[in-house]
Amino acid sequence: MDFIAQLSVFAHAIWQILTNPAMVALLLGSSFLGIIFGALPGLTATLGVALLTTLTYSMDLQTALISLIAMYVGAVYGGSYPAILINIPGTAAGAATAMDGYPMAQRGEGGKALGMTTTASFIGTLIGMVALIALAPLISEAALQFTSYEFFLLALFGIIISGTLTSKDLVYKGWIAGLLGLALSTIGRDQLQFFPRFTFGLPELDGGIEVVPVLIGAFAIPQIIRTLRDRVALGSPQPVKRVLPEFRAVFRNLRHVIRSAFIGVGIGAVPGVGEDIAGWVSYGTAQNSSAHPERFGKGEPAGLVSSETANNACIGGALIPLTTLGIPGSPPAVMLLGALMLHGLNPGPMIAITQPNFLVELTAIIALASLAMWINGMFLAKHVIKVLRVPSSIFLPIVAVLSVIGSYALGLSLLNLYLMVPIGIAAYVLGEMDYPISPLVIGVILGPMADENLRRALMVSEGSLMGFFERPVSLLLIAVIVLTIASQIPAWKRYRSRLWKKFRGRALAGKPAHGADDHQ
Amino acid sequence: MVDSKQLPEPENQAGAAFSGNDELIQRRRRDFFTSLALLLLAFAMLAKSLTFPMTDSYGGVTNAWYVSPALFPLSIAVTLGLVSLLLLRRAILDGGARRRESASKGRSKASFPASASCRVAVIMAFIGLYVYSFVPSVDFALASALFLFLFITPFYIEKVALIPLTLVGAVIACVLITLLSHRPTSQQYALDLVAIATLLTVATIAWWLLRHSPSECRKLRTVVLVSIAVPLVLVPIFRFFLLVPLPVEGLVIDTMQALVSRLTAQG
Repeated sequence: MDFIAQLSVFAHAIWQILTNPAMVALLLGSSFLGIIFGALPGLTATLGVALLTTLTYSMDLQTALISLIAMYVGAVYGGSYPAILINIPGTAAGAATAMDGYPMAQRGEGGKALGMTTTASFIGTLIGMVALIALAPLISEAALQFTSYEFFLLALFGIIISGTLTSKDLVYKGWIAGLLGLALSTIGRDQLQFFPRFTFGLPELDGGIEVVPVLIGAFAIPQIIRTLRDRVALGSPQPVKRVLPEFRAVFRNLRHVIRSAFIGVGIGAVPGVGEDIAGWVSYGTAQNSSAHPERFGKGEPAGLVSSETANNACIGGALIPLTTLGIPGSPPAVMLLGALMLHGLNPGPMIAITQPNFLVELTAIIALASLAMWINGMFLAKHVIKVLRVPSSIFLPIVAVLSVIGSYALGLSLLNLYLMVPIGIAAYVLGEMDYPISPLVIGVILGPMADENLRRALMVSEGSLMGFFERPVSLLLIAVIVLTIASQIPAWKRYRSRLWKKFRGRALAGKPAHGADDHQ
Repeated sequence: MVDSKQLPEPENQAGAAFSGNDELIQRRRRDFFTSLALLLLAFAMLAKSLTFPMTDSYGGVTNAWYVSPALFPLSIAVTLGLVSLLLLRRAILDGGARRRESASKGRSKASFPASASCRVAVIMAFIGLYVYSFVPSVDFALASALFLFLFITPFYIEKVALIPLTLVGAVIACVLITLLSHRPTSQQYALDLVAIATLLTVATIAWWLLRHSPSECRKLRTVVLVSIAVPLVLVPIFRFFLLVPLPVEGLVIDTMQALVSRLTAQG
């Protein structure tokens, strides 16, 4: 599709949504709901998208997407409210925002901080959107050349990289979480021979484990347990007078905004790594590159703008691998993938052929979702602040009821519920022992892809593993996987640092000689 | 809680170093047992996978090892076993396998119902009872109202005596539901009535316990209101707007259904 045709589809999608009052109401409503979900400590963007998925079940794909994307964008932004006003980030993505947002609010600049985060998030989401529309077609086109070898390795890479980057403790724990997800994905009849695996004679398990109840269990139950266990008591929010767009203040930090947006897109595109890491990396980079790093943590607008731009730009980045390869870039994108699959859409390279307008329509929805977020942020900020006064001991049990009814409603099966609870408890226990949960759910989602493509690839090469080494992309993926794993092995780390020292020593030894040559 | 900023510098650092080391050993101790459990899981998966058709024919199709349904589970089981061994090695090297000596030293010992682990157990119990006992047997609106009331009360009002009260209420309701669901009864809504009776009894006892504190009584009123309002909003959305049949439709949902039918007939 050429640029003009794409622009026409984009404008048509925007027009179609904006001229339909029901769609506009859904867009604004979902965005507001998302902001509330992000603002309430204990609720996350992932959980918001998970619970909303159950309500979009009977909607058509476009309507469901409007609702889910608006919720996603709103929830990532909403985390900044409690971060700024009560120094408790509503989501992990908002944690870096608290560093400078709360000191600003303490100085009586809460309204200014909220205005800046709203505009910065808006710009960040738009830059992420531009990156999505610019890069996704290129990746999609390249991915069309992929065969079973590449798809198996891509799935493997997704699990390994998310396990590596999301582990707070030992890297093995991330890999174990991914392997447990893969193990869960093998339950049910296999896709090539329909042989029942690990079904224990239960016909209900023949179809395998449904993704959405697993996601709801893995994200909702640990969150409920942890927040109520720790008795997270919220302080009184700092007073806010007026929330204005603060264009001038944001413009003064334009270089931070642009750099953070690129960081957000880049980190978002890495499978399983989400908005929280984007926020922190961007904050750290802004501090390191600032002429006044000592001002960071004391109410520096550059810090605030950097973290908020990056975590919202991450949304577009996370959707790049999701739409082109079927590999979600962040935890909420994992949930979004589950929702798309529920609506009969299988994202991947073929989507450009089966649904040529999908990407452009998605881009239009992101643009409108960011606009809805900005409007809600500007005009309804004071109402969101009221929500911060609702105790978690009241809203979390309600979330539990929503999780139960949501899990049941998707397959009308009690088995989904019966599985959701042990998965949730296991996720809580694993989380307590510093096992990341994202690789587990990514494993559940990518497991069937890995299984089917491994066997198809071996079928093509009649059991020979050489097929994996005969294709350039496949070889590149193998190299990346091996390097990712090797980079975590202590012996390799030691060897690398020895090599680096030797190289630096040689470079330093060579310098005076060069200098001497120059003088001569 | 002691504010770490108020401690003198050297003591604070020493304390941090001690607690950091202690925390690491405790974590590795947990890792030690987890890795053993994971090894067991990997072994079980391996054993089960070996029973899947490998090279013999299944469903009339002659198999080769590379298309066998066992290939992928076997690969996962072997990899899981290897990574678990690495975790076990790290846990042993970091002292996780050593006999526990002073792990519990210095740890605050909260009273039974107020401790964090007890709260976790209570939360899990409430969610478990709701999913495995109330939802499959009782009208969904009533099951949710009962769950919300029992769950919110002790955590919102924060009175220690309410944890055993609501927990005992939930267990008694569960026992009665289990007993009645296995016996033929002439009363169509017997299980729903059990839920209503439990809710009323626990609410009355809670009110009696809190009667001297107006603020706590106010909180109890909020809990009752939320417990009733949430299912009354959620159930019509799912049942009549999204057309999702709920797990059990009894007293409340049947009444709603009758009301909706009457309204549509009139409309």
